[in-house]
Amino acid sequence: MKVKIKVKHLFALVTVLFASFVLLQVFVMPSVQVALAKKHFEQGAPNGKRELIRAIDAASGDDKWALIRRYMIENGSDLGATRFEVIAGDGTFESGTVTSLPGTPRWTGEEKLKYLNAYVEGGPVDGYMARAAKQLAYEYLLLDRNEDAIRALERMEQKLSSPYVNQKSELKFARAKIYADVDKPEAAERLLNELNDRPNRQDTYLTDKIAKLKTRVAEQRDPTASSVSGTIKKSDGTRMSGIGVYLRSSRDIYHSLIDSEPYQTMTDAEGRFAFKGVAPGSYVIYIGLNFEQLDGWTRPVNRDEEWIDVRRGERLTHDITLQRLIQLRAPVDQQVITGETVQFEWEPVEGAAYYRLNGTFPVENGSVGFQIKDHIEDSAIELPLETLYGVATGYSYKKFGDKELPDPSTLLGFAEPSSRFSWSVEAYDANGKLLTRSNGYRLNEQTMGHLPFFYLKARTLTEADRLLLEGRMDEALSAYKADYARDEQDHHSLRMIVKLFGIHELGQKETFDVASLTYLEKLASVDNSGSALATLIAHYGEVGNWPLVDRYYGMLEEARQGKVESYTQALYGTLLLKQGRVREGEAQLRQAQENDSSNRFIGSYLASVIYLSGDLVKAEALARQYPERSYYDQANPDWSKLVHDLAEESRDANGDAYLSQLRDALRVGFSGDQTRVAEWRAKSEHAAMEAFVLALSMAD
Amino acid sequence: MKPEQAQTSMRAKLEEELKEIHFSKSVEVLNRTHPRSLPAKLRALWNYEIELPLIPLGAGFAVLLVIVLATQFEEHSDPGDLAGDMPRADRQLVEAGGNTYWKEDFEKAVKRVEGKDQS
Repeated sequence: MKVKIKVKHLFALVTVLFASFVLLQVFVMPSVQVALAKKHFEQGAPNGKRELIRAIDAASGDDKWALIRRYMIENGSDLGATRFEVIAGDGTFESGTVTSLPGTPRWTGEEKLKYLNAYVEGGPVDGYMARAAKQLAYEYLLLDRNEDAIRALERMEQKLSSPYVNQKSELKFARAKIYADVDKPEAAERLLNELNDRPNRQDTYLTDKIAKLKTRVAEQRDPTASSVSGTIKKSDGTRMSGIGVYLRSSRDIYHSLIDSEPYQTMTDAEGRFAFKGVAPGSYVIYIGLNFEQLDGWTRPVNRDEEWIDVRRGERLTHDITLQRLIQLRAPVDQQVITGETVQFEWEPVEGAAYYRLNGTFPVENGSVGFQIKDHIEDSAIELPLETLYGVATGYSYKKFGDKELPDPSTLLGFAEPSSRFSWSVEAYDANGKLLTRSNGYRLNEQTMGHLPFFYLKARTLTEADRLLLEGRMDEALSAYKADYARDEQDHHSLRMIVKLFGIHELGQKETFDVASLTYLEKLASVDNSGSALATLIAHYGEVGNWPLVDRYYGMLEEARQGKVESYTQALYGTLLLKQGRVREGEAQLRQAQENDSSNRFIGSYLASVIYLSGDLVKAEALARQYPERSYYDQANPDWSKLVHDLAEESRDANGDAYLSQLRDALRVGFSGDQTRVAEWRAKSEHAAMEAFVLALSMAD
Repeated sequence: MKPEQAQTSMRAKLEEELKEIHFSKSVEVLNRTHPRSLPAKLRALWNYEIELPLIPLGAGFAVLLVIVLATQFEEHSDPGDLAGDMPRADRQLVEAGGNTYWKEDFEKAVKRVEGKDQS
């Protein structure tokens, strides 16, 4: 095939082609490259960052600032609290999306310094400027270049004109905060005073922050100021720098971390942190990390295990060491189990005295977790399916038509063959301190490990189970009863009857009737999990049938091999106090108290100690050592104050007579009978004694 | 006879024969068909019609285009040092079995183990 063309047309064609090529090179390609760089960066493509840097370097003027603004400043972190992807508290891990571009590559400190400095020097003076300066200061702080950080903030404050009065205040506040962090309270105070004189004071949020920092700085200037410091590292020795550290007061931990909480800092290059001038009180340290830092690791702490009680003039050290997640071995990856036992196996943990095995099953919008077995000494255990079926699991609610009913599959628990279960382990040392766990952030191929899922398909659903799954609860209950009547060895039906009765009673708020009690007692005699026993102890305790309480508690101790969970042990202890068996009660409460980090049983324990020894000094020391923790701002009694007041009152009164009156009063308090307490209080003349007994009678 | 001589004689013959016939713009026509001056010769070349083989030319052009494009985008395709570890956009976290995974990775892993079960 040939084409005829005149030379002049050929020439024109070539010229046009060439011109368009040049045009493409000069005008189109750069913007295509910028667009591609943006796209690749946003997608997190391997070269996205390099391309974007090239684009920023090649751009000039507004285009350059726009790129830095969009991809560095808007996505960047400064001195604020919410810059981390995960906030790890005592047993809580809260992840949130903190960046406007999740998943984009991270800038290194060097890159940020370079471009933020350029932006601060030459960028347009607008609202972004203050942000850029704060981020720049943050980068300097990460490198321990505190002076540079302060200078960057100060220069920007001078550079911004008067319309940006709020930003100027923010910058000054950031500077004051750094001074406070580096222990220069005078300089911080000077800036805070300047802020107090600022013209625009409607900004209540900033005013609140200023007031809080002022209190902290004043505390810091006190020569008897307390401090909390420490190091954050990984168990392999890696020091973790740039980790957010938040010393959170007991009044604050019931809500998410907010900017105005006064004790916020981050670790230096060596992983160290320090809070100077900490007001006396109870605190928990929360730390802020990025996904990469936590991936495959955990902060091994359970709720209430790491309270820091700061008293005046104390210098406390609190180190945090992240531990590797435990890898699970079997059953994993959705293994289907059809045999009569399940062999659980996991990677052993150095220094572990025992392990706790937990299970979860999925429900709508989440999962239900429960403990399968505690105090396992080996890193493997073979459990009969009967044991799993008997595990006390919680249940969630599900909609059936327009009714909310307990989700049948959660009621069936491990006996539901179509549920996908998962499991996890926690390792503890001999003192009951958590060493590490298997649950956590598993975000790449190496850390993901095996999926902790398995199915139990050994049993088939009965007719009663099917009725239950259809939400026909009453029919299911009758069917289970009929099944159990036919076969006394049908433990499954017995368990389901007890569960369904339990739900019914919860709804009616009644105590157990004779029928359900019979089933419960039958279950307790065959079920080796002991969960029915705890219910029976609580019930017979309530009705005051002491021989049965003793009997079932004895059975529970046997089932748990002497390691009864602290809640039931403390309950048993208070029931003993109620009967006047104070010495036995004290022994149980002491043990429960030792195993419970929330100190929720301390009141009853203190009362038993006072009753037996009359030693108020010892009791006060105990109360101080084990303060009852409060949550959600709920005011739990301050036992050390209550005991202190008792001691004062006894000194003022005649000691011996006072003590004998106190013993009588404590007996009233042990009863938990509010009418008796009220009658006694009407006659009592000792205010401190009344306060203590009232608190005791209300203690759970 | 050389071709130029033949042309000249032919032209003389033609002029002789056409002496009686008067073309308008006859000079122009003659100049165009048989240019004498340089500009005239150039103009002839300018308007010269050539025949181009479409297939080899198109193929050559395509090759050239590919080379140009390849050099243009080469920098976008060199392997990154951090491939693999880089997070990708639009990723979502999912909590499953008490662990937190990237949703995409988790779904892939579930599919993998389910595939293994069936085989």
